[in-house]
Amino acid sequence: MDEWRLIEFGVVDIRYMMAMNEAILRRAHRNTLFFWTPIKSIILGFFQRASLELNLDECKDYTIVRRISGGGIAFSDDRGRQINYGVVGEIDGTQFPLEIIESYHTICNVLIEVLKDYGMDACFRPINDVVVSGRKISGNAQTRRGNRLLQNGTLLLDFDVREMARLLNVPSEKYSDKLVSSLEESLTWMDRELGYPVRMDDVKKKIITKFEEEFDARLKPTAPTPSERELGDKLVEKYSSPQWNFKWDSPPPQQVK
Amino acid sequence: MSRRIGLYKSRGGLIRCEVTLDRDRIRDIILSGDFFLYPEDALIHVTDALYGLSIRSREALVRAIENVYAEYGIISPGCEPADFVSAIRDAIKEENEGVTGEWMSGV
Repeated sequence: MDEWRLIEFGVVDIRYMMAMNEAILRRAHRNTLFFWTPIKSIILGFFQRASLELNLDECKDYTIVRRISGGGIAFSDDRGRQINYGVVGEIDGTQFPLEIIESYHTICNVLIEVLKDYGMDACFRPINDVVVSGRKISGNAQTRRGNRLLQNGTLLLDFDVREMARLLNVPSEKYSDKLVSSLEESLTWMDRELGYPVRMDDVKKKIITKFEEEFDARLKPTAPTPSERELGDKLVEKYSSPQWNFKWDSPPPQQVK
Repeated sequence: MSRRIGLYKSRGGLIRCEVTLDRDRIRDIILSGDFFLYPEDALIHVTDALYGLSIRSREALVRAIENVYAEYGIISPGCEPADFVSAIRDAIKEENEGVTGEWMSGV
């Protein structure tokens, strides 16, 4: 049985977290699962352009950061009710398939099993989503370096749809209500599905158990290595810079926070 | 010269395109959106291949992107070279001149 690392970062500054995310991908010496809790942050996909996606005037008290993987915005409100995870693994053709969508599916299966455990009708929706009754409850994004993959994802426990709608780029007020109902229709979260506030620790415990089953591995709680920390500390500068976070927007807008 | 913005919803995600034209030729182009493309750093080669091309021939644009895909081994699940061209063609529709983008996000 493989031994994997398990790292809990807790509530984080998202710039530091994205730096550690990249550092673990580049420096991990073994497969790793890590968790963090984002608060009031907006993580842009690698190819997204802040000025087109966001109403930047409304985002001034949010930390905006770009990640190294593609896909869409990962938004977190002030409720701290979502689980964000990262998986760094070696693509060996057995645990992690070479084919991209299959490898998304492999990791998403863990979340699907957890949600089924809570009685939800969860399934994988290619390319990168987990849905419950057709509504997205988890978005996931993967990148690769050499023979390693990094998959990040979020599992929503609760979510402020109106707040997200406020931050997105809409041409005028009249579209706001339409956007809110569209988001309510396309997204869901665990508390809404269950009708009560689920305990985050319980969900995480279930994720760990299902992970160990899915990958026939034992997860050992630990901390980042000195080598990962050293690289992470260096990378914070990149994830704090407008040149990276506001790529293609010139001049880059001032980030207040 | 005119700066235009367009978008196209592919199966693999929303593609946004900002293109500056010199008559019918692409003078500058930025492709963005919530799609996935591997390796990520190769997107710059896609835009590089489009500089100077005429937007009149859809086939020539698709072929230019396909060549870059082959050269750099690009994979973009659910998002084809032709989808990027559809975003460019959306940008050059008359009514999109100066428009700052579609409001709906790719959620």
